Amino acid sequence: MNHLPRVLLVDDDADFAAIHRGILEAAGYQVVWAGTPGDAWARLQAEALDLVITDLMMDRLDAGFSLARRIKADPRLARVPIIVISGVGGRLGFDFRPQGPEELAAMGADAYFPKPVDSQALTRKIRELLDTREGP
Amino acid sequence: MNARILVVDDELGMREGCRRVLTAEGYDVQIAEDGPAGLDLFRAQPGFAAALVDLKMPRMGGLELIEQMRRLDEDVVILVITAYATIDTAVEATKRGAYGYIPKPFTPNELLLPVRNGLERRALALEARRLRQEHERAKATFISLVAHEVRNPLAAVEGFLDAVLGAGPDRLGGEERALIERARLRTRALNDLLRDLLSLSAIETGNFVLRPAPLDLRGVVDEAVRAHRDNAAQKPLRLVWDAPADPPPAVRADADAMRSIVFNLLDNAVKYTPAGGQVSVSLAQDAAGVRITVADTGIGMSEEECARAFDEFFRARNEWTAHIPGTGLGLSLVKRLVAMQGGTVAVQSARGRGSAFTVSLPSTVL
Repeated sequence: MNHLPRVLLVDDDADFAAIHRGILEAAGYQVVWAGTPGDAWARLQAEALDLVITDLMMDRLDAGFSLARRIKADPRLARVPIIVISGVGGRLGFDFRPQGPEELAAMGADAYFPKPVDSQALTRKIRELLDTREGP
Repeated sequence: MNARILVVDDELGMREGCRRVLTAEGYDVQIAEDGPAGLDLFRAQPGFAAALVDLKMPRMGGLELIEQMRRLDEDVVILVITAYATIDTAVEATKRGAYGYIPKPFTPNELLLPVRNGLERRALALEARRLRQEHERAKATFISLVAHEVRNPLAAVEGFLDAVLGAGPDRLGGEERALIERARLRTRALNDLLRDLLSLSAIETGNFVLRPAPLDLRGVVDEAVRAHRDNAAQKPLRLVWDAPADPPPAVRADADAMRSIVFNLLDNAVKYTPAGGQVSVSLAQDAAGVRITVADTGIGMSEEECARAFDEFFRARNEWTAHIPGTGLGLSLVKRLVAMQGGTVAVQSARGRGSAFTVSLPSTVL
């Protein structure tokens, strides 16, 4: 990759956006922030982005999933890795935590992290996803 | 819908008499001529509001029938019809679950009055239970809503604290770092509390789903012990983990539930053991099942406190615990999580000598 990898950060909560931006920039990534899934989609159409990190519950309960599926369904974007970060980790009827790689794939996501995110685990995962993508 | 009443009597005259009187009052009456026939009807058509049972019948006696019916339906009003209205038989019938008795012979009013009273009592009991359940559900829903709303901002606070802690030594001095680290410990404890609250409310609303999967218990205990090292060192107290040398075979259990169980027991042990004491953890696995023991040399509990230790919100209140924060939720959650997986948790304790909690899970070794 001959440019700083660009990460699209999708979260309607400006505080989490700031926290995650801090982690990503410290790890050497360029960050583009979108506050809504609609905004995120517009950015994806307009510019080249290497990876998407999205919140789950935004304007709708499953907004993050819809966005992930939409990205995976678009032939030009299908190869962009997607990481879901969510605070919905409880056992509350709507437990979105994926229980295995199959469920993760069904979500359209390549990785899942609960909030608050473990910064080292997150950056390790990002590196891994980008390396696989750049691989031979 | 009219209340359904079952009449079980081997005398035709008595059956028909009861049927006539009760039907005229608008009840939906069914009859059976002996115990087994009555029980079959009772079983085949659940939801009888009341049953009139003759005490003395061939094949199956009234007392036995009462007991069987009670086992099937805890709300049905059972009235005993008896020609031998002695105190003894009445008391015996009540013991087995009858609401009252009607001595033979009786007038229509002598039959109707206890039936009406019994049905009214049943209606009140059902209503009370419905309200109680509704209340429990509302409480659990409220708790989970609040916990979720609190959790999100808390996660943001933790994120910011982590961001500060991640700064290099040139930006964050040693003293400031220590303060932020303490703040981070408190947010972690708050997070644990929220997690317990959410688990309990999910269990109460029936939304808690166990996901048993092959699990390395040694790893779970390992992780819990590591997470408590700092707290133990701060006190200071000795934290001894008697880890099995070879990894024991995986068991089928819910990873989150097991983690929650071990973390809660260790939290308590460290919390209630004064400086200089010892907390030891052991794991035993054999054909009979799995046993995890967390023992401490802490303040211990009286017999009475032991009996209530697993009650929701119970906390032993005495001079030793007054300054120790806690909600009284941990052990009640532990008990529920263990029970949901078919296990038991027991405590052995003596005031001033320490406590030992043992979680036993049935053998589900893969």
